[in-house]
Amino acid sequence: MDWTVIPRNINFLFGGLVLTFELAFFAISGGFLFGIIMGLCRVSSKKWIYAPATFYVNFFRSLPLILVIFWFYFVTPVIIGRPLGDFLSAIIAFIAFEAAIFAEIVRAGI
Amino acid sequence: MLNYTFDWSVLWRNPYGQWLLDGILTTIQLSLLAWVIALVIGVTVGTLRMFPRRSVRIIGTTYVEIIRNIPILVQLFFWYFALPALLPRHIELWLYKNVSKFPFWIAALALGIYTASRVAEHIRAGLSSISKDQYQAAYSTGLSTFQVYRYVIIPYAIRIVIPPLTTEFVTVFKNSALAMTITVMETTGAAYLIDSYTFHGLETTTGACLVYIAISISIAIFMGWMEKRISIPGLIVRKG
Repeated sequence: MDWTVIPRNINFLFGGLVLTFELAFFAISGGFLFGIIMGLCRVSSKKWIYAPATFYVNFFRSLPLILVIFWFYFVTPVIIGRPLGDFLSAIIAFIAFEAAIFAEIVRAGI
Repeated sequence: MLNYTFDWSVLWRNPYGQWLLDGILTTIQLSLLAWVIALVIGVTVGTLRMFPRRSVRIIGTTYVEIIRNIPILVQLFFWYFALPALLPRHIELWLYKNVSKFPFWIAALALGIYTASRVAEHIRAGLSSISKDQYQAAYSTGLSTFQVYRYVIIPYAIRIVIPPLTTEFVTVFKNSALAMTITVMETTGAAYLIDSYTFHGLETTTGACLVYIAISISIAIFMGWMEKRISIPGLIVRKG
């Protein structure tokens, strides 16, 4: 065993940690904002508001996160016409996924 | 719009259709095996956490807090890459070379161990929701501690925790997608593999999405039926 790989590569590992925090920050804040809106939509009494929101939530809640990340990575070039970059498309996937989960929490809270 | 020609036939064309089908089967096998492991360990650990003796409770709490706070992806890597490396060299090589479907078994084990920590929390919540009177009544009929749990408390608790366990069951299916990172070709892995051969990742991942949605909906329907079937009249009634 050679534990010195950790101090030797500490900058690289630390960069990964920073990226983790960045992703988490954007995913939590974006997902929370979007999730509150979705959660409010879900308790609406108008069908054209709650039906799409319910579909959205059930759709994302039944998918693995890793698949959502792949899917956004493949689908964004087709929609906007150019690759979005891995970090940005990962953030969008995270926000879309977390929003569905936050929406359920917000709905339960209401 | 990017100039993109859709080719949905990658979902069933030879040989990709077979890969996807194998992937779906692997997903189902992997998740069911992991779920069985998770239930066995989870119910045990969850019950340990409610034990009267403190030293026993600490074992359960330690398990749950350690396993639940490490990402499942890191655990998969640990069981697959790090643990065999700790063994003697020839055993390590034997594991990778001679054990058929070694990544599959490791993935099932890792998923099971991880999900067990979450199941244990639900079981604990279910057990704490049962009132003291129920325990006292069971003890007063002369049952031993083991019998009280085996015949009275756990059957009640299981029924209370079926809705959260349904969510966990769906989560096992979703988490099984991570097994692709240790070379298990389940649904997501197969979709990604087909992409690397055909560059039609959009179609294959969309197909994989539909597979997961179908599985989730079937589980929800099945568990709803099960919940009604095993409910104790007058205790917990499922509405709707």
